[in-house]
Amino acid sequence: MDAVKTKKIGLVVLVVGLALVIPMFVTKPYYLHVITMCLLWAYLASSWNLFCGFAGQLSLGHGVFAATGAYVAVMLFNDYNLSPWIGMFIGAGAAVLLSILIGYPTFKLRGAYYALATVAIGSGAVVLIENTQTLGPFNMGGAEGLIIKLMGNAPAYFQFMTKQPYYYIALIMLIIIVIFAFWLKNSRLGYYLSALKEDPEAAAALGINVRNAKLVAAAYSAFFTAIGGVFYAMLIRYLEPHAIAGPLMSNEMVFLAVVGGTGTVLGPVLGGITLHAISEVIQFYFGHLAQGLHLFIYGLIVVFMIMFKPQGIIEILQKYYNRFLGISDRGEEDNDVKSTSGS
Amino acid sequence: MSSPLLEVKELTINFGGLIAVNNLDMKVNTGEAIGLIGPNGAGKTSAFNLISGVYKPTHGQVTFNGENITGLPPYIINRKGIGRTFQVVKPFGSMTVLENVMVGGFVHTSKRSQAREIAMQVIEQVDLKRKINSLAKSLTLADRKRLEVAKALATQPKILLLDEVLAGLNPTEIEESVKMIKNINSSGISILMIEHVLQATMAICNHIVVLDYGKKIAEGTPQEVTSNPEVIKAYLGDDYEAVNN
Repeated sequence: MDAVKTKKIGLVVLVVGLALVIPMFVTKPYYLHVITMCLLWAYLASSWNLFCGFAGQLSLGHGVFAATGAYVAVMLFNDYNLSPWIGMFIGAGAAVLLSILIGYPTFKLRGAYYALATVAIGSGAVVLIENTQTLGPFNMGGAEGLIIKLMGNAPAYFQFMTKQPYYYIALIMLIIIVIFAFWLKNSRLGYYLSALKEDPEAAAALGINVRNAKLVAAAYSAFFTAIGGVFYAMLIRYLEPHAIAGPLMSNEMVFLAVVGGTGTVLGPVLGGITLHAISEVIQFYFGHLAQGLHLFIYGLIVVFMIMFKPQGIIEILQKYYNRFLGISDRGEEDNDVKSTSGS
Repeated sequence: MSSPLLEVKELTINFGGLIAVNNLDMKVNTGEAIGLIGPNGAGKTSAFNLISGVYKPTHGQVTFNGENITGLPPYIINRKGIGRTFQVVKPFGSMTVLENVMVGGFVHTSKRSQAREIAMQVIEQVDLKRKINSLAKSLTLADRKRLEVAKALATQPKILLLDEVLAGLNPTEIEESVKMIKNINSSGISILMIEHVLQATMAICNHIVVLDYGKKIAEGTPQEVTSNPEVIKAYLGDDYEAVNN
């Protein structure tokens, strides 16, 4: 058992160590930007997964939370000079409130109806932002979008002249959400979510307040998604309503999480990094051949993954992971034998 | 005389024109095991759904431990001490047996270790230790039924509502399950069970209530109930009487 633990710790140290030194080898800003986006998408897919993966709810409107976080933080920064380091938590708070407002009526809906409601909310949000020039004292930019005020190299205001800091911030965010997801999965709420995902009626019969469990998980999810939205805004320095609130954002989170493996801690991380990397590569090689060709190829990859590996990339890797740790793939049966002979 | 643990008064529910449960009065005292029998469609499961909060009654009252719990949502009713199983078993398929039972164990604690401890105890009690790390969807029907009982038991109920936990089992499995239910009952948990396997019901229960078309048509000891002409008529039809006469 100890050897397994050592191997596990070794693997974590190796992966984190590698991630820490990447900027030393990747010096071209464009490449580092792409890698940073991979981490951000892994983070966003994980945020979506906290609620939607763990509780089996298909939200196609998570862009709303990314937009809430981003717009609140950016407006406070542009108009009131409030540092986005503080603004991001205010934005995240707003996203949490919004998640409760949305969740309260929609969590009664089941299956496709819930998904449809979230699509409607996402589309509504885009229209709303596009048609709002000002909100009270704040400039919202309407359909033109919102440009983030430039401060030069200002770490206190979440602005850097090089790509390295953004990379490390994205990495820290990703590490935090993985630890959080791991904790959540193994907490009481994690068990409740797994249970209600499979059968809400049976869950309620075991004393679980199904709606409250969903609301709390959705609030966590909205919080982390909003922080991701703020990071996105500060990295790109431009907020475009469609890109941050619309289906581009919302659907991407779902694709990445599904291809990686929903409901698992590391699935969305793997999906986010590999699938986003693939999409960048095919865009680089095929993007100029025909309009939209890279998107077509990307769509095919997603469809094939869902058809042939519905449990996601994580399922493929699990086998190699177990072999690496020296655990038999048929660990279940082995345990059965042990417990029977022991009793 | 102390008041009953669970008391149902004039309980009624209709779905459109159909009266599924009609004016049902019933009592379960602490430590008792009561059987609820009746032909298919008699309203037994509907009665369970009314007690456990899945349905809200059209009329009538459910009192538990001296408290009116009529119309409360299922999760609150469970927390007050009423555990139930489902006739069509509802395992959490992609979770292991231990994780399934831990979900129930978490109701009274937020500590993982404590929930695990409760689950381990219950799993031993229902004799599922040999399957503890198996996924619930890989279990046989007999084990799935045990898992249903284990999940409900882990919520530490004062009374357990068992909905046909013996249906579909072979004679050996029934014998084992009867033993298990008796053990649960003798550990101080009251039992209210719906069952078609009459011999088993009689082996467990000291009091039986018979429903037909939503109405209580008889109650009493197993011997009284089985010799009651109303009950025989309900189960076998009028023709049987005609032959008898």
